[in-house]
Amino acid sequence: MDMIPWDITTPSLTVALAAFLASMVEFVEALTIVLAVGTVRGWRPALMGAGAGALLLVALVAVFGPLLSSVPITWLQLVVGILLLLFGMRWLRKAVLRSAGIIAMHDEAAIFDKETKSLQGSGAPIGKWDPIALITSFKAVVLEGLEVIFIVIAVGSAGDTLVPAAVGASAALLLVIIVGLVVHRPLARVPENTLKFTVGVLLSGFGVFWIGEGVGMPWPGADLAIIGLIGGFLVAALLAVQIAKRPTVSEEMV
Amino acid sequence: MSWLSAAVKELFSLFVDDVQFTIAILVWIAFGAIELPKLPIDVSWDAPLLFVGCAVILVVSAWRAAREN
Repeated sequence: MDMIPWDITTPSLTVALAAFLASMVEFVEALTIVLAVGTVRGWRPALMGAGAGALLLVALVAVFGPLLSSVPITWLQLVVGILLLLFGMRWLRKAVLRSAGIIAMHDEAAIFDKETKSLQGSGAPIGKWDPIALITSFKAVVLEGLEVIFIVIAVGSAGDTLVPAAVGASAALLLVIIVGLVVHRPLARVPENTLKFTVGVLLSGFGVFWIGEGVGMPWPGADLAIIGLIGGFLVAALLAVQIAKRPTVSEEMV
Repeated sequence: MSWLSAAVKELFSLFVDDVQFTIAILVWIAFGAIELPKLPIDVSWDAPLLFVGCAVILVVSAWRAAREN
């Protein structure tokens, strides 16, 4: 029976998990804006804007996706690895600083309220086509969707694991749509920082791995080194939280 | 055009938050790719050292951010 579209190996499962968690963060952020638009300006322009945004993203993938296969694999691994490392470590640093209480937590409910107030102050809808609602919803889906496309391509292309990456992201989209339809509120209870912390650890691990592969450095344990790198970044991030939490000498003396 | 520049800014902000942090990572990657293979150590240490440098950059950056706040 050959029904499984990819080999279920540890790297491909890790890729699917990374794409699922990272995409969920982005979809939750897009949902918050679309919900705010739908609640204040009406569901028709909110959903039309979101749908148009999704179509544009599909078109972008259809046009630029095939170009990936023409890039030499070592260059692809190096470029994707660098981008993935920058993206993952940026998320990880932010999650570390939030966990340590250095910067404020991301608050979907506050973003929803801010967006709602902004939309209420934008004047009454004009006719059937409410351009403000359409553009706001369209922009949210395109901007967050671009991040999802990057994540799927980055975690999937360098290791020939695009299918598990796409499956992970699609599962996240489905889950967010279903939960969004059921609760009809911004998903404020999603542990956004824990997700970003986890995704930061996963993507940083993949990033360093692909950079090493791209420049021809041999990894101990080959593909399984990814697991060790993820564990290593987790330890480093937890250590960073503890160091960032610790008061400085001058504060202790006060 | 403002929408396009917003999209470009959004794409840039995917990878860059703290400029010093980003530069430190890029410099370490360049050093790792060019200089690590030249060091008189076994080649099997190059890749793990690449990771260790990134981990140190993360910890130091978090420590610096905590001090500045």
